[in-house]
Amino acid sequence: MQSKTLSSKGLFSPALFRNDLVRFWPLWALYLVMWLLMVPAFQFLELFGQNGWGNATDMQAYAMSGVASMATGAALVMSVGFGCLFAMTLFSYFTGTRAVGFVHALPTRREGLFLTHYLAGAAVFIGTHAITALLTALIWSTAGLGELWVIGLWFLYTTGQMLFFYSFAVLCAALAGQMLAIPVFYGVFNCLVYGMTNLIWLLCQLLLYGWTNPDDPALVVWLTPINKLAQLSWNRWGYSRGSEEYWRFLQNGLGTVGVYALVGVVMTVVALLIYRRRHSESAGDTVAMSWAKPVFRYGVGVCAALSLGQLLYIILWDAFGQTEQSPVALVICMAGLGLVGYFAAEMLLQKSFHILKRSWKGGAVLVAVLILVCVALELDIPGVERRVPTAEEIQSLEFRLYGQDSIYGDSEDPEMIERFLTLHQMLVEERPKDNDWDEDALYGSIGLDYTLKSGAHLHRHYSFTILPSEIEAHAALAEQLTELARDPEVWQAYMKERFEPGRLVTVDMYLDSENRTLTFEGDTAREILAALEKDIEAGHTGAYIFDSKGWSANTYSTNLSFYYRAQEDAGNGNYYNSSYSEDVQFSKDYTYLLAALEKAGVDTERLSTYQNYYDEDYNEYVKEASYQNTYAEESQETPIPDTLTPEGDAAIIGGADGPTAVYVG
Amino acid sequence: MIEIQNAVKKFDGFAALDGITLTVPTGAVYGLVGPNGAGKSTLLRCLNGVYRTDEGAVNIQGEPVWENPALKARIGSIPDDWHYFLQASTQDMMKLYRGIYPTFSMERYKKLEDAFPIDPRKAIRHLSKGMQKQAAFWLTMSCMPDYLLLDEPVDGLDPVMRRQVWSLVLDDVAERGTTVLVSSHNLRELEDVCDHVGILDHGKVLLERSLEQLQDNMVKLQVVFPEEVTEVPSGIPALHASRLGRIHTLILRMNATEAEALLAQYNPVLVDAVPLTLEEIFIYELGGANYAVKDIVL
Repeated sequence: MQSKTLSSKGLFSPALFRNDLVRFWPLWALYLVMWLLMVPAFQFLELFGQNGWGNATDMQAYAMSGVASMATGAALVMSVGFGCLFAMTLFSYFTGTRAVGFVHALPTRREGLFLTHYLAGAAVFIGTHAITALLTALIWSTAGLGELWVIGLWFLYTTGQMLFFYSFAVLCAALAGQMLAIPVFYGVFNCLVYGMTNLIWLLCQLLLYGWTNPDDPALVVWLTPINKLAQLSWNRWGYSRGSEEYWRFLQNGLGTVGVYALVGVVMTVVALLIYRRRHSESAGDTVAMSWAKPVFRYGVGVCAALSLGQLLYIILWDAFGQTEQSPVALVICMAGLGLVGYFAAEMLLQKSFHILKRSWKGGAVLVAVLILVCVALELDIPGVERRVPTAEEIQSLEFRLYGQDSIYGDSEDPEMIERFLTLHQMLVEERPKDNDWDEDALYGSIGLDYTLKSGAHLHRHYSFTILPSEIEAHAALAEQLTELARDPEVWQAYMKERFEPGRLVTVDMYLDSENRTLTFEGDTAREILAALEKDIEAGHTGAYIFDSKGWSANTYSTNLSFYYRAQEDAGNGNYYNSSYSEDVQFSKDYTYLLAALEKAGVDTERLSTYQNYYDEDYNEYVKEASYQNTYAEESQETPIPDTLTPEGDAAIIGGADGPTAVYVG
Repeated sequence: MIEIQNAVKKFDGFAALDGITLTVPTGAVYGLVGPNGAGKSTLLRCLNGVYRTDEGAVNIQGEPVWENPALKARIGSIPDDWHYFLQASTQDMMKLYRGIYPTFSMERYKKLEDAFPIDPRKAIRHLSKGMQKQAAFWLTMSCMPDYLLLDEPVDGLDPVMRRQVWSLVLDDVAERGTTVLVSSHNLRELEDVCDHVGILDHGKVLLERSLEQLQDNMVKLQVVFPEEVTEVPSGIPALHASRLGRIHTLILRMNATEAEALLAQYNPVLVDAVPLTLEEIFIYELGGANYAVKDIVL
């Protein structure tokens, strides 16, 4: 009755609806078969196959997680692909002059035509999901499984995602006048925000001193639906399968899917409004709506400038081996490729190659805008380069010092923040160059991520390679860098979550000169860690981070690995043991640490620095020592104890090719 | 009645319809003539609701056609490039038409099966162009339309089928009062079937007349004057005059009775009225041989 009323008003055509279902049955069948294979058929084979389930709980858990895993990754892939295919199939008549003439001459209103075709697609996917869910529920019931809500969860996830991507593709179809333009628009719009954001950031990186890309803003992630929905799949792996957190995560994820489903409904309304205003004669045009044509023209131009233009610049600049950026070359590349994009778009719109006469003014406007933007960034009109926050603005700071070694950490200590602010200010004022590497240069990079009290974030990254000839000009900066690299508080911030005495298990030390690993346990290990902390407090650490020559001469080629135990949540109320390790490189300056190692039985005189290590003669010596050591061990056939001996004894662990570790209790 | 008032339709600034005003009386067979690009197909697409005019009104029975499903259900339309679904047979398309057009008559469909020698189960794309046109007629006529819009309808049909199709159309006009608007670039083709004719050029109606009006307004005579009269007398306002031996062929803008009365003053030896072709009528209605009407109507 309802449909009759709608039909008589021209708002729905049952005949066209039936026609859609019959005409495109192969696509509908493919969609149905794929889901039937992935969910009920797979569940049937797993539950009634040869596996033989030990108990009902395992079987239930396996079945539940099997269906749940289909709700995220598989559903997303299916929705992205089939959403577009459905829309292209049902709304393909938009793009053909004859077809659009035929359909629009039928006694049905535009709204009716749109709704009829849209509902045909929606009916197919909702019906497919319902059949899949019912069959799966039937299989579960036959296998004696409960928890059917998981199947409902799958239904909602899958239907929500399909509704969004199908509606998205329908909106693209409403805008496109050519069949091929539908998937192109769909693909581009899906990634547009993410892509453009990163391209703009790349431009900032090239033109703004100290710019570093922040984390993807939440809005960018939300406006990149594939990315946002894929996170539901990726992040799912962060939880143990079947744990409470796992299910809570999936249930919460339903909110995200729900938001996109609602957006899908809004997109459908927008597509309908566009369709009502769309002229039949736009069939065959790349862009169907006249207001969208300038957007397309300039949009393609800007995208080409930002992507191809910057790519060309980077390739050329890299090919010429330049280290300093050239804004002029960048502008030329961007303007050139921007024009190519603009005129290509114009050719698509005009369906002609002879467009120069009509559209050169627009091209000139585009070039002018690109130049203005680049000049504005180069002159730092937005004030990004000069911006150094005040100490009062800052809530916390994450820092990274990279050079021969890396130190990173975070702090809310105003004094330490002040020291980094001083460094930041000096970097902004002095702008040290990032020259080609030289072994006598002071080189490295500094990363500063401020969290401001306003909740905003400020990210900066500075790379520098200060040549000996420039050191004098940057003496104060060099001093500040070295001071910070040795700053005990900086090191303590680095150590605070990584070096935990309470969890320390062993300290390993690989002796390259002897081709074996020493393992220190218990008090010995703790003493080594304590000695390291004393070196930090004494400012013995980090002296050579930015000084490659000093690093090579003073830092030992071996390092210490601190092994810690940890407990991981197994997801079922139990925890299992795991471990992690932190490596530390040390130099001749680490007097406390060296003393502790000596005490533990290490002959520190035999430790080699990097400079020794790369010395050819020394390598020969190491080879010989290693050979003799191996030969001697094999010939003596030293028995290897199964367990550690009491304190003071040593245990050698090794295989057929000689000892590989010595335990010192 | 179909009424088009000052209709304007532009494509990227180009006016395909440039203020057209045209009236098709109910039950008339209206021939729309014009060269390629005159705006005939655009006009028909405005009439079947495919295009929306930028300005002006397109009404049938006083109602606008645009987004008027009830009215469009009474319109049968066969464009020159009739569309069918790729896999569809005539039978499949019949099911769609039957579901969409409330007036679709299965009885008529069955009846017309004999008129069109087409296998209804064969995919339309496998039919020849002429047979596809026949399928279009078969389905459209089965919808029992009150208004029939035909764009170059008999293109691709053989002479026998042309006659068959026109016969069907004219039967509908006679029996059901169907109003037909038919476009063609060939005036001669419409001569036998139309009772109203309009000429379109560059998106404008140059002339619109009923056949009766045309024939009453113009006459073609073959006249033999007395021997002493060698030239057409200056008192005779001939639109066209030619001579072959002593026989003068004159075309005059008046009816036959007035023309004979006028010529009687010159004591002609012979006066014989000859039928005017539509082509001749239009040439002289539109301003004589100097006007490039031949380019338009031929």
